[in-house]
Amino acid sequence: MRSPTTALAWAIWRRGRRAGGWAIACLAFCALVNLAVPGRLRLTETGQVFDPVFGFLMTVSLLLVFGLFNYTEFNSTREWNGFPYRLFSLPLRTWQLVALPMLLGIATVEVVYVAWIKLVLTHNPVLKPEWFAVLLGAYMIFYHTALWSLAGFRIARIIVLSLGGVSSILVAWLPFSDSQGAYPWLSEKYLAAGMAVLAFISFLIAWTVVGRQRRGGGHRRNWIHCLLEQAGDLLPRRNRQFASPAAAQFWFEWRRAGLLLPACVGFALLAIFGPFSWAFRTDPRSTIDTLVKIVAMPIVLAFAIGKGFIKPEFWSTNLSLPQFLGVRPLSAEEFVVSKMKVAALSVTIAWLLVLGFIALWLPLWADKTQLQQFLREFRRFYPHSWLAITILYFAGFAVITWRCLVSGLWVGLSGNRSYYIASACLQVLVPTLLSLAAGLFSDTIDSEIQQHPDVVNSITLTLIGWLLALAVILKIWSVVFSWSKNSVRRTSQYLLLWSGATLGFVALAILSPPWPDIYRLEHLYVLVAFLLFPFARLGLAPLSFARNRHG
Amino acid sequence: MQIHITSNDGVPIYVQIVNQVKHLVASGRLAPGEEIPPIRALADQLLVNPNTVARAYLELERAGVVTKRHGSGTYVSETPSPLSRREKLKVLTQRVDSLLVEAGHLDIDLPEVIELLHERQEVIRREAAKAAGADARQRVPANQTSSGSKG
Amino acid sequence: MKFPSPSSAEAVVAITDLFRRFGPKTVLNNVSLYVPRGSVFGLVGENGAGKTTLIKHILGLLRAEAGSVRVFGLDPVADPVGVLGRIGYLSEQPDLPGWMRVEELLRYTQAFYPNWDMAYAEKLREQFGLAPGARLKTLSKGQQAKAGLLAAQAHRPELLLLDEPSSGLDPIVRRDILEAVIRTVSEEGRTVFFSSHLLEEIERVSDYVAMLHQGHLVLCGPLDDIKAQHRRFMLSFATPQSKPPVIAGALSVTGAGREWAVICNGTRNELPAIVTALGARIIEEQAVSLNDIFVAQAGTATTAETTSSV
Repeated sequence: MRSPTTALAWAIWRRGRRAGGWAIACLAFCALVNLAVPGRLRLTETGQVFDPVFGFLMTVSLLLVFGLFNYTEFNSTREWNGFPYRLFSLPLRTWQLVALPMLLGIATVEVVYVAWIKLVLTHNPVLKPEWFAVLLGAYMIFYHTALWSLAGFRIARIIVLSLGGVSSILVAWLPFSDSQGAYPWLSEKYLAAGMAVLAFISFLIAWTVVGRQRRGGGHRRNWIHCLLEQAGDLLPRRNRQFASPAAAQFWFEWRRAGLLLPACVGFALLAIFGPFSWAFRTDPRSTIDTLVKIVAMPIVLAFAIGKGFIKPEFWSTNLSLPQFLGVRPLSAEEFVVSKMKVAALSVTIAWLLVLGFIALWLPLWADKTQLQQFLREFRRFYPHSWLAITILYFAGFAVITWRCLVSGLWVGLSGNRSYYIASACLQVLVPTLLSLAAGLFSDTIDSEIQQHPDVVNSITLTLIGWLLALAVILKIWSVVFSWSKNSVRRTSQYLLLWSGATLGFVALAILSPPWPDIYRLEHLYVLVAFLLFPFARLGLAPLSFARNRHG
Repeated sequence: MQIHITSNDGVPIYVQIVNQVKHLVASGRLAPGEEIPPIRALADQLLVNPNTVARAYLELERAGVVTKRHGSGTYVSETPSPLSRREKLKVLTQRVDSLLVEAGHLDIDLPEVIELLHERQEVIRREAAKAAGADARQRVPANQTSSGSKG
Repeated sequence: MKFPSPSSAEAVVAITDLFRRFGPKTVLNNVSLYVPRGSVFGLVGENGAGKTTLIKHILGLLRAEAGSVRVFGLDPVADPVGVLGRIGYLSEQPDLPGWMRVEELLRYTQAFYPNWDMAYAEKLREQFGLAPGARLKTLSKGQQAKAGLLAAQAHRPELLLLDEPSSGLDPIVRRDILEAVIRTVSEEGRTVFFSSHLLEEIERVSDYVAMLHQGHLVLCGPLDDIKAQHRRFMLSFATPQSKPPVIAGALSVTGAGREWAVICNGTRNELPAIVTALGARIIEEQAVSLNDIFVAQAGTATTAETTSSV
């Protein structure tokens, strides 16, 4: 190691070589595909699909590069995840310590970007490539600053980083928005200059913050946390004994992560949907739009939060069971049940908030013309059962939210990091790939359907039907296989729960098949209804938890 | 009862307790008939295993230094038992052995050692007489004052 | 050297031929030991000798790859609730959740153990000086250790399991821990198992001692017997020796010139003959402290391994 730069660069690469490897793999794969596919083919309609795929993979690889430069380390004595504390004792000035990772990051991301442009995106070149280069560099600096200054505020940092990611898309789009040239300051030259100035200011902020941290200040014990903790002290504290070990474990899990989903949902309702619905209250189309988004929001949030919920300890990246919990005289089944109960209560509160918001919003300031029309049509089709269907739908959404929250519980509790990451990736990648495949083969599918409508329909529908039936059988088989070690009480409780929920779904499927039901798809919907409520979880999760606990 | 335990020189802890109790009894700091702390209390005080203390007490009882009365604790014995004399001689024999070995190292022959023993015995006797006289003089004024107050 | 072990019927912890490997390294190599009821069992060994691994096997946090582990006659992996409910555990590293307050920790732990004595817990809490509303992350390391000790003791467990409880703690906290150990064993039928490398503590409170060295059990038995068997002999040679004399059955030989100290384990009857054959005589015989026994045994075991591998 001849110089600090090479030493730091080597350290960063060693820590994140997996992410770096994947980024290079994406790049190499797309470059090969680009080389292999001749230019003629690219111009046809099927060839058009390459561009979104390349674009997607390029975004993925750039995100991986950003992940590579997640230049923080966990400092357990202060419980924060910020600038590596041990580097403070090196004989380097603070601005050098701050600038080196930033410069390395900028260099890497620019190299990757240029590689993508030159090797992959040769046929459909990117407009204004320099603007994107400047943007990437500036955002690398912003990213580092956010990581280091918000070291003690984990949640705030996640929010700021996500908002930053979203804003980067908006900012990237800015120069293209002004096609008429009405605002000269919106051209990419001025914007690039503005970005550079902002980046420099951000570097100064990072330098100040890291300098303060180096001199011993700027960690968690600051006024916000003192305030929060004093507020927490004022709250009434529980002073009754716990009725049973299961109740104590429920309290423990609730304190760790129970209020997170309701808090996020509440925040989204207050900060996003409230103002938006007020701003567009005169627009009739927006009502149904917003309603759909409000209903979808808890499910999306639950999906994201669920990735942390299924871990043994929510707030740590370590998947192994903390020793404090492993030594409790509590069976694996009770641990799993407490997690599932906390998830259920979380989901209930979140959905109560959503329903409360809807109950306030619709009567008070929503434009209900289109909604009322839709409701009239709805009541016309289902004259007797429309109320039941509505209630069942909302209950069904709540159940699906709960399912998203605890999906993959047996993977998360198993303690195996590769399974966890693989499962998370699969859950994201499979729908993406399916939709890509649909897009890829949409021409062929359309032409086939036009030529042989009946054959295609019968084949596909029979196929889907058999697949669904197989899935149901697999589900029941895995239940029987994995429930051998569970106690009778919990088994009967869960069986009751499952029967009730599945009955509700089946009723929904029977009462409200989407119309027009030309192909008699009712039986398919019933089969889907059977698959919705998690069944084998109660058995599989304790088994993997036991394996995690007993090494 | 002040006892000090060290674990540096390898001497077993129960032996240290036994020796120190014997020393306390011999020097008069533990009077005959006085109660010594129960096993658990001494174990808590010294931070040693109660079994060790129990073993020490057993040794002391076997040596006749203390006697155990059922239900009311352990007391320093009033009269020395005949068995204890054998124990005492055994302790003394060990010390005599180390004295003789040391003398051999230092190249001092036996007649000189015996002369040294007589000398030291004389010195100790004189010191004890002086201390007894001082005690007697202290006690007399107390008697006089009490008789004076009665009369 | 092994001494007759108590029968498994009266053993609280019965470990038989335990074998454990982490990757290429064998951490426990055919270890067998039995912890009698009502005793204090001390486990010594250098860092990395396998003490924590052994304790994790007792807790069921590791599954026995070969051999068997039985605690109260039950398998801790098959029946975690039955075993863990009767054990109080204090770990070496602070593993208490920092966000909990002291009173919340006590109430939470209380729910799991039916034998919890709230008055006793309160008394200990006051004695340790822990404010009930304080969050655990604001406590110092010593206070956290005391909080952990409090949670481990308050339900009067049948087996108190301490994993290097005094490491890195000040003498006052160490004293509290020793008091807890003695108080536990004073009450009928309760057992203490603790591992430490503070040998003076082990010497003060243990009934039985076992020594692990690189995964092997090199010593196991009552402390008094072990100390009685190990003796140190001071030898004086006629001529100065340039290198340490080789004496059969000696654990360690230290010294220079004419005077050498030899630590032996149970071979004191044969030693005079051997020594005379080498042209020396025994000047003095001393007892050996546990610290020196440990160092001598560890040194011997390492030499034995290197010679066997050669």
